[in-house]
Amino acid sequence: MKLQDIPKNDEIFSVPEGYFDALSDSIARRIRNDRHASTAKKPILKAVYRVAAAVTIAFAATAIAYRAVTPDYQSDASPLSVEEILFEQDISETELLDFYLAQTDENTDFTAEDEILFEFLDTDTEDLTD
Amino acid sequence: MKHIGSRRSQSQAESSDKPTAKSAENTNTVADERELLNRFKQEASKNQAFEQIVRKYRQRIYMHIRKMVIDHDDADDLTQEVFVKAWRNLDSFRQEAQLFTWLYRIASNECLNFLDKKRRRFLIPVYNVCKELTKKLETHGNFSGDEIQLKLQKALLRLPDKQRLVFNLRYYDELSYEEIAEITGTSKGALKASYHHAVKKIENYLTEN
Repeated sequence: MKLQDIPKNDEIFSVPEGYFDALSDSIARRIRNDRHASTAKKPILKAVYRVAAAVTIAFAATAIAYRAVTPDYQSDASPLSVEEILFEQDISETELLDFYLAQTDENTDFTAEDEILFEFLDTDTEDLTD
Repeated sequence: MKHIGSRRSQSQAESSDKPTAKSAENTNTVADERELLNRFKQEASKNQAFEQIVRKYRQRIYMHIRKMVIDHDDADDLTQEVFVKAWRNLDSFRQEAQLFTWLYRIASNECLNFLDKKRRRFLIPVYNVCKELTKKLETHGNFSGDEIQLKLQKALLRLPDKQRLVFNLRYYDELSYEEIAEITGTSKGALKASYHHAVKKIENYLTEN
């Protein structure tokens, strides 16, 4: 069977009476709703942006205040010098040596460790001879 | 129930590239379209111009959609959506294309998306969507053609959506291949091949059933 054998007819679908007049009204209504929805969205979006901005500013202010108050973040808190540790903290030279040896890594070059040790022994010997 | 469309002779489906009666009619409306678009761009006459656009194209757009989705309620919803989208985007419409091909393009995309969504929602193969639409065609009482027309529609429902779309635009809407190319974004050569294959498939179905 060939397509040409079929009489062409596009009256194949029926629609309710007066449908197309009603369709224009439905479209107009839908467009009105669409416009209303888009204009109603704008103040909501503005409010959302305002809240987001307020939260960001509050967070930044809190972070700055926290840094200013917490001692760890204070820039004027300078560490103690070696002299202060030795003379003001009442630490003996032996304790200091033990500390250095404990801190020295096993992989560290032995010459550095030996130098400290010998320096200490030399001073001790000088003290004894005096 | 009121029937829409008009009965025409069967000479229009030839696959030649000559403009058909309907496309010649479309060319005549280009000046009207420009006038409507100019009026739409002016705030004072915007609503009135759009109302005229709707009145001018509502029936053709609805019928194009109806042939694709079969069900009246679906076609009604999609037609409204097409015109809402047209309203939103008409300001940015460049007059390189004709207004009616632009509307057809929106309508065609709506149909293809609708059918795609239907398929994805139910996770059913192509055959079942075809079955569902065929059932709608037979049982909802919204088909008013004779037996051979029903058979032709059943054959059409077995085609892939895009091929069915091209067939409808060429066979029923009698658009030229240039116009269909503008609507579908497909080359003229591919459209001719698609239409030719669609006709072959339909004729095979009609012969076998």
